[in-house]
Formats: sequence, C-alpha cells, structure tokens
Amino acid sequence: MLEVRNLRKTFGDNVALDDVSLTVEPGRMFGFVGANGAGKTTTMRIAMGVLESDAGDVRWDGASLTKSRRADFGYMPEERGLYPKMKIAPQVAYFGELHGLTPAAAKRAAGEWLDRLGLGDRGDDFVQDLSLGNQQRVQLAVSLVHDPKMLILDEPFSGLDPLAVDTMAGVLADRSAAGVPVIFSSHQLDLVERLCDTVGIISKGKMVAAGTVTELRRSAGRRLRVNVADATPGWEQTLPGPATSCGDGEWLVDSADDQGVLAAAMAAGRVVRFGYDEPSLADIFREASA
Amino acid sequence: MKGVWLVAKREILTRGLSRSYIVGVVVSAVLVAGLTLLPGLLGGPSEYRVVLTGTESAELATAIEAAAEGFEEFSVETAEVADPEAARAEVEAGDADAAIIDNTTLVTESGADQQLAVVIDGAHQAVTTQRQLAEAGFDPADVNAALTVAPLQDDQLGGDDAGARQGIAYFLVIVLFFMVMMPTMYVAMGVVEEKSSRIVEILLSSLKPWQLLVGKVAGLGVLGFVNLAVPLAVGLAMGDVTGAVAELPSGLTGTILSSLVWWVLGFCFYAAMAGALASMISRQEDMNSAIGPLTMLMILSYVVAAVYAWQPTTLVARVLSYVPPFSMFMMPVRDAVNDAPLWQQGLSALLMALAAVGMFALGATIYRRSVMRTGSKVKLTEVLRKSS
Repeated sequence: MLEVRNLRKTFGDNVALDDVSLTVEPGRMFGFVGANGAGKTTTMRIAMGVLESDAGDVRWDGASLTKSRRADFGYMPEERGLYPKMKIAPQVAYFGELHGLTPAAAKRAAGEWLDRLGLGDRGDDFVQDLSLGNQQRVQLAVSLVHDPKMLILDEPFSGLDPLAVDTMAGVLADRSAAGVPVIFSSHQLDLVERLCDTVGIISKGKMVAAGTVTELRRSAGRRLRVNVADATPGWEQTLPGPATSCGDGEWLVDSADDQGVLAAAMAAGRVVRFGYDEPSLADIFREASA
Repeated sequence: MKGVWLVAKREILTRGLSRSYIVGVVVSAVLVAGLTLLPGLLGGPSEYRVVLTGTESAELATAIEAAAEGFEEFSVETAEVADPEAARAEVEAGDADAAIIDNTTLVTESGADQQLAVVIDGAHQAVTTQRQLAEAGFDPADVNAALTVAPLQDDQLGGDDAGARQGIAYFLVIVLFFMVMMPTMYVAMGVVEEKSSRIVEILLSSLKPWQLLVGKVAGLGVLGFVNLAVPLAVGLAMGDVTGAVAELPSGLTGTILSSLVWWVLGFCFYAAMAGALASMISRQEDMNSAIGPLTMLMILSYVVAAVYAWQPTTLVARVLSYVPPFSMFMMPVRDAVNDAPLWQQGLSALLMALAAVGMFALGATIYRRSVMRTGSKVKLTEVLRKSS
C-alpha cells in the first residue's frame, strides 16, 4: 500500500503542492486527474524519489520509502525517456538490471515483455527507428521489466492509438488483478472512469476530491433531472430547491426532497422525465476544479 | 557500487562496440605505428655520389671520403670519370649528386645539399691549400701536420638530446590535450542526452545522482584510456621492432608510460567538471556556453604548457607543474627533460588527484541539484548557493 501524506512542495514562490495526501491500496487502480500544472507530475516524482518534498512523506506498507525499496517500483515519467541510439532489448534489460535483476533474468524478462507488447521481433532495432507509439510500448516494458510491486505511471495513455490504449489498459488491469497497486494520471476521463477503482482530483496543488467513482458521484451532490411537458412558464418557482435550466424544458434541481420535487412537477403538468442525474467524472472534475 | 558498474558497463558496451569507436582506435593505432616508421624513412642515412675528373681528382676523392667519415649517417661515394662531359652527363642523369672538374668547378643539378656542400668545400680548401703551400716550398709532411685540426668538442648545455626531449614533451602535451578533450566532450554530451530525453528521471528513480555521474565518467574513461593506450602500446611495440624506441633518449619510455597516469588524473578532473556543467542545461544547443569555463581552462593550461614545453626548467614551469590542472601537462614536460625527480612527480600527482576528487565532490553536488531542473540554463551561483 502506498501512502502519500501531507506533501508540500514549492518552486520559488510558486506553491506546487499544498498538503496533498492519497492512498493506493493493493489490487486497486488509482486514477489521478487534474488540469495541466495542477500537481500530478510533481506528486508522482516525489513518490518516486526523483524530487524531494519540502514537507510530508511517502510511505510504503507502513514504513517510509528508501531508495532500495523504490527499486521495486515501476515508473513511467510524463516526458518519456529512452536512449535513442541503444537497441531495444538491451535497453529494457539494462533497466531491469538497474532495478536489481541479474543479467540473465533481466534479459529474459525483457524478451517476455517485448513479446507481450508486440515488439518481440524488434529487439535488435534502435529506439530511434521506432514509431512514437512503439517507443511508448518500450517505455511500458521498461517500467514493467522487473515485475514491480507498485506502478506509478504519468500519462501512460497519452499519444496512444486506440489499439495501444487497449493493450496498455489490459496490462494495467492485469497487474492490478495480481495485487499490484497502480496509480496513473490521465486527461482521458472516460478511461479513468472505466479502469479505476479510486479517483483523486487535484486542483492548483490541492487534493479537492478523492474516493471511489460512486463516492465521488454521491458527494458531488446528486441532482434531480425533471422535465414537465406543457408546464406553464415559471412553474420551477414552485420547486423546493434551486433549479437550473438545461433547455428543452429540462431542469436540474438541487434538492434532497425528491418526493417534493416530484409532487411539484406533477402539479405543474405531465411529467415526462424524472430521476437522479448521475454526473460523469468530467462533470465532477469540472465542478471540483472550478 | 553496483549502480556505478551498471552505468559504466552500459557506456562501454553501447559506445565501445559502436563502429565509429572501433574504427577510431584502429586508425589511431595504425597512425602511431606509421609514425614509428617515419624516422627510418625520413632520417635514414644520406648517401651521396660525387664524380671527379681532371687534376687533383684522386686527392679530392680521398679528402672528401675522409671528411665524410666524421659524420654519422652520412656517406659519400666517389668515382673518377673520363672527362667533363661524362661528369656533367652523370649529374644530369641524376646518377651523381655532384661533379668536380679540375678542382675548379662544382657541377650540380641545383646546388649541393648543405652537408655535402660543406664536405666538398672543405676538401677543396684542404687540397688547394696543400698544393699552394707545397708550391711555395713547404714540406708536404709539415703541411699535412699543420693542416690536421682536431674537431670541436660537442658540449650541449641542455644535456644530450635536449632538443629531442623538448620535442617529445611538446608532442605529449598535444596528445594529452586532445585525448582528454574528446572523452570529456562525450561525458558532457551524454549528460545532456539523458537530461534532454528525460531518461534521467527513470534512472534517478533507481540510482543516486552521484552513481550516475561517476558511472558515466568511469565508462567513458575506460573507452578513452583504451583509445590512448592501444595506439601507444602498438607504437612502443612497433618502435621496439624497428629500433625507434632504442633511439629514444633514455628514460622517455617511462615518461610516455607515466603520461597515462596523468591522462587518468586529468580526465577525471575535467570529466567531473563537464558532467556538472552539462547538467545545468537541457538542450545540446546550449552546450558551448555551458562548458565554456571548462574549455577556457583547458585551452589555457594547454597553451601555457605548449609554450613552456620549450623552457621546461624555468621557475614558472616548475611552479605550474604542481598547480592542478596545469600540472597534468607541465609535469610530463618536466619529466621528459629529466627535470623532475620521482618524489616531485608523486607529490604533483597527489595534488592533481586531490583536485580531481574535489572536482567530483563539487560536480556531484551541482549535478544533483540541477539535473532534474529542465527548461532554461540553471545558473551556477543559484546551484551553489542553494543549501538543501
């Protein structure tokens, strides 16, 4: 289990992180969302030990993280990094060795992952000769080669074609199912919603929401969507809570008194639509970041 | 240490097995091997042929051959021919280097080589003087005795072979300069490559910054050392076979070998500095301005050494041979002219080693503080002031 606790980080006068905490549990996938510059990358870099925080700490299984324990982590930085003039298979194996594998084990693992990611026959090619999407697959292989106990991936899906997205999502789901805590950031909210058990929303250096997607929806304040055909204009004044128009006679009502809203709607005319509106993650995100 | 070794191994394998590196080592080895053959080709014994005709030919021939014996690697073959036409024909055909007619006329294609001219002129003077004195009534035996002069003693104040030693010292300075400069540049380029491709972020998640820096310097250092030592070994071996090494002034083989030590010390110093300076920039385009201080220092110490290679026993040279990083050039220069006893070399090497260690400590600090900062060039003052 990875625990990030009360991180604070400033760059000059700019407060990049302000009391950021999050928890990634074993077998769970944590989606980290936030606008550009909100602090996702900084948080992940601190978690990987690439940056130092000004305050707060990162704990792994209840103890503070050391360099050697971080060697068990798999990391994909936002701005991808590979040696352009090095062959793929030795390169993946090199990172395996850096993470503590023996040369033989690293070579074997590199071969396995490249096979699995569809690059098995390109091991002797130079990285610079690969397409960007394939370089990204190599990057994933680099973060997975040592069978990490924790995966931290910064924007792993950016720039991937739909097929590669499926491959990446499959691999992540597979690792997660094997009990590995996974945290990744993404701007593709539909993907986060589909893949993640837990979502954290960060805005301007602060965690503004965190929890399961269901919890977030609930806390986002469920609203009632109601549509009354042939209602006289101004009928919404009779509703027990503030209402906003969505056009075409539809209204979103902020009220906990669902039966009261229904009664008012029935009194106003023929109710053609009534129900709780499930906000999408994008709605929650917009609201939380506003 | 394992991290350092892995980083070094990667540098050695990826660059060392590249075609350009292997070709570079082979080419320099061949060049150096060729150099050892040069003295034999250029400086071999000079052999001349002089033809004579007319009066006093026999006396002249004897005098010329006697004079030629006084010179090493210089010999003159003489022959008498029937008449002036035959003599001119030989010179014209290139069979003879000079022809002397009646001890009055010297025939050459375009003037005689300097040494040959001296010998011929001396012989002409001697034979003519002898004849004129004999004609004036002196006893030929007395004349002969009076004309026999012992040659001047050769006493070179700089010791034997001073010129050759200084020449070799100068050559060593040039070799050391280029052989340190090249791999130092590779260190700087490698650091920027890792930083600009952001691969450094992955590396630093499993390595400490100093491990990365030391590993890179060590790996590229091994390659640089091989690039220097292989041609040198080939050169010494070839020189041994051709006899060129035996002709080196005594002790110079040791100087050449100890320059390998100076190379290691100098490379460590400059490579640590290059890594630190390069870590402050994010793009290869900024390289020149970033490592400007290093290039300046290196060129300055090179120029100073190149100048003092010809005055190795002056006070300035002696002082600078202890001051890092000047000492990496100046001490080999002094050693080449036998001016530095072993303890002085050891002391100077120790100082240079300390400077290299200090540069590594400083370099690792700068590297650690700036390697994760991307964008525009990080200011050195800013990096050094920061306390965390």
